[in-house]
Amino acid sequence: MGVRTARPPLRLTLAARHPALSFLARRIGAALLLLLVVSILIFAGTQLLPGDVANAVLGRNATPEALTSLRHQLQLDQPASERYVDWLTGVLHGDLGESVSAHTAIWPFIRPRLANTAILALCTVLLMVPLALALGVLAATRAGRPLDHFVSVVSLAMISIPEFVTGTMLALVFATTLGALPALSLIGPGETALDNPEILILPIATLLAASLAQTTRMVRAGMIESLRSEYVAMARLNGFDERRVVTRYALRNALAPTVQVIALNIQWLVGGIVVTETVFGYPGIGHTLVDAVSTRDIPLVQSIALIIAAFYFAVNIVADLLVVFLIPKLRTAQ
Amino acid sequence: MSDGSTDPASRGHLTRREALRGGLTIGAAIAIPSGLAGCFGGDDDSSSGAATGPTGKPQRGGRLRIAMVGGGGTETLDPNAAVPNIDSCRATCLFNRLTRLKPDLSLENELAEVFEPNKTATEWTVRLRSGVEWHDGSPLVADDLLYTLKRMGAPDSTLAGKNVTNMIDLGGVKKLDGRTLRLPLKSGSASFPELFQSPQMMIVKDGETDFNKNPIGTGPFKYVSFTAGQNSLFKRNPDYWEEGLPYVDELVITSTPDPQARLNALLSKQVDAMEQLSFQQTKTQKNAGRIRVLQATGSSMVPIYMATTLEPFTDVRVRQAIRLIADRDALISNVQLGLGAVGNDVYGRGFENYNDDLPQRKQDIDQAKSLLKAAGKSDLRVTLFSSSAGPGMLESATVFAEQAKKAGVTIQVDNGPADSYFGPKYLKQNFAQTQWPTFTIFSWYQQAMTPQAPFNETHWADPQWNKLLREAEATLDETKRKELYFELQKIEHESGGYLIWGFYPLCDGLATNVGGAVPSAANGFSNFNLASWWLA
Repeated sequence: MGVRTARPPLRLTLAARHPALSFLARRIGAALLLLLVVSILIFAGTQLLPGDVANAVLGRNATPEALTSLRHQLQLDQPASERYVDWLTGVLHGDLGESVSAHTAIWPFIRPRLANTAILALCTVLLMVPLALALGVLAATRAGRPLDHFVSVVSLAMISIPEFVTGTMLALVFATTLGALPALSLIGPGETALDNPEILILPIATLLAASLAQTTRMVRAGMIESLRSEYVAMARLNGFDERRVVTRYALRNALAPTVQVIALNIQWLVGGIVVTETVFGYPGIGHTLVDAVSTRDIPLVQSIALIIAAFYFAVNIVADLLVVFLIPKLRTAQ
Repeated sequence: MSDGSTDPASRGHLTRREALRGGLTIGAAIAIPSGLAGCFGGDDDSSSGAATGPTGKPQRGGRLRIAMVGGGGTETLDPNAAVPNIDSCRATCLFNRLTRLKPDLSLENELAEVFEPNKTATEWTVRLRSGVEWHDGSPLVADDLLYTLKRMGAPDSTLAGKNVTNMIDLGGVKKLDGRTLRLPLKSGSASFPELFQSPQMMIVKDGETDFNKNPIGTGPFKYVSFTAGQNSLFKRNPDYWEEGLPYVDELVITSTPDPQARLNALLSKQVDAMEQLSFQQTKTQKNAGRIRVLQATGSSMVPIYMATTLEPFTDVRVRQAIRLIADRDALISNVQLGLGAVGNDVYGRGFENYNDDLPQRKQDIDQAKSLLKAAGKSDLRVTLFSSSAGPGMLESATVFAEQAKKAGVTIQVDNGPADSYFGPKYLKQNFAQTQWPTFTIFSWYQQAMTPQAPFNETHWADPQWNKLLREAEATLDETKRKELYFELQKIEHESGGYLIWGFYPLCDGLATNVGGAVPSAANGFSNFNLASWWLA
């Protein structure tokens, strides 16, 4: 009964039924392919660095004899392509391999550091997003007035100061002069970053200084454009009160480009985190990456770079998805 | 000296000699109990507003926190594989070696009770101290020492100690009793006990292979935790064999590569001491007086070297001219901001056998020009390989290149990356810079000057010099050996490939409540002797 009519329209593809899902699948596929390319590029880059891990590990004890012996023990005497394939095979099996400088498995080595960085990044983002939105909207609604100028000048100044300067200045003022906050974000033996939350304050402030300013400016620009649009004019003409106009109409439409800007800034945070962690001696993934490069620990560099690249792509995909959900036009368009 | 004990007369001599040089004296050369020495300084000049440590009786207890440069993931608790200072410091806290350098750079026994040669210095008998216990309660025995030596000397060993064990006929080592070994050498070496003072020569327990998980030592501190590139926590060893030591209950050593971050941590009281103040920080902090500067100058240096087998330095006249070009006082004041000491092209400043009778070489542009003319190298152009791999290295290259212009010599400074400066190109360059810490003179010869030296930067191969060194090392009479060492340095001073324009000071920053810290030119942090530090 009704077999013929119960049939769905002929050969409707998965893509057509779930456009977002298919979009996601395509993006993830592309990201995986790009990750492979990135890993090859990083490996090729590390091969150009002068010296190797044997030099770094042996330091001043690097006699030619010891170098040969250690290179053999670490299998550095095998061709580069072979070492890359070995590492990649391991990664595909879920094994990041072994750090050649620390002689330990990489995943347990970086996991606590990854957690430290995640705490730092998460706190920064959680503060940055609402603050940027609030400040951006505030500046946009008062465009051309003193408050707007103030926000603009301060954020411009913040953007132009690199993190290592901001970090050093903050440490100078709040740590060595006032003695109010720790200058170094040390995590004691057996502790986590959350045991002494005050060590997070200066690194977060440093990261916020540049990223918040950047995002605020973008939100402001988007809001100003939005406030000049016809639908806002229409809303105002309809007599809606200004607060409703700003939040319901202008902000909602300004959000889509803002999401992209926030995503960009989160990705940019990765670079800032490397610098900030080094300035404050915070034991995160950025600090570890700097160490790994200087000790020529190629598998460790590879693994961290891969994680960072994966994070980069993930943020991009999430941002794109969010935009699709925020803008109805994109959802329905084929 | 043969058994590693000190001779009071030589110590006194050193003190006078250093005092006469004025201002810059090494270590606390006067014999003072380490615990009471807090107020004595190595290079401290009392006229500045520099802070001092507490005086009075050492106090027990507390947690000592120190910040060191660190070595990232390469950090290890295997003492024999120690490379960065932080490894050497941890090794010195957890383990002991046969001999050690005192703050005046004279040698004394640590775990050796007796360390004596036969008449030709070709065989050494070493008896270990009795009553020394490993952290697990077992006694220290000769087998532990034998295991350590064999571990260093294994065919596939990459350990620094191999340089030392290569001198020993390891197959012929004889166990005389439970605490005594007889070590036959391949050739006579009167300076043999000196080679055991370095932190890489720590004695490890028989059979021990995995050091990063609960290492067992005999040292003043016991292992609690360690994360490479981050920090370590050690606790006081209550059964330590050195009476009353250590003073503090806990010791935290943190890796902090950034020099400004280390100083900030000290100024904001997050740590009690930090290593390696820059020259600028040293000057500033001495004036500010908020922290104490622990400073001592020995033989640590960033000299320029010329490979004697490579053009244009095969001609001794060119080498002499290059050495005469240097305005050493200007280098010291411009590069090291007046800190440290002027060099005289020979290594070993601060040690008993350092030849300070040699006339101090000074800038002489006219003579340099005429030497270059005679060598047919009047408009010499040469590249100086440099890097910021050592304190003041690149700066001194730049200043020296400027000075060379006066003699018509054009020097192009090639600034290479610091982290691979001692990498593949090292030892192949004709004109470059290097860094050496303070080793004993013989130990340095073993690494840089002898035919077997692994780091023969100047490609030094002078038959007469080699013969003299063999003779010196076969001579047990100390006065005679000193004469021979002076002779060796005279040859280096005349024709060697090093331009040693100065020695840089080791400068650490200490909180003013840290007591017992005597400056040592051998290594920072009182030669890593943190057992003698206490907190007021």
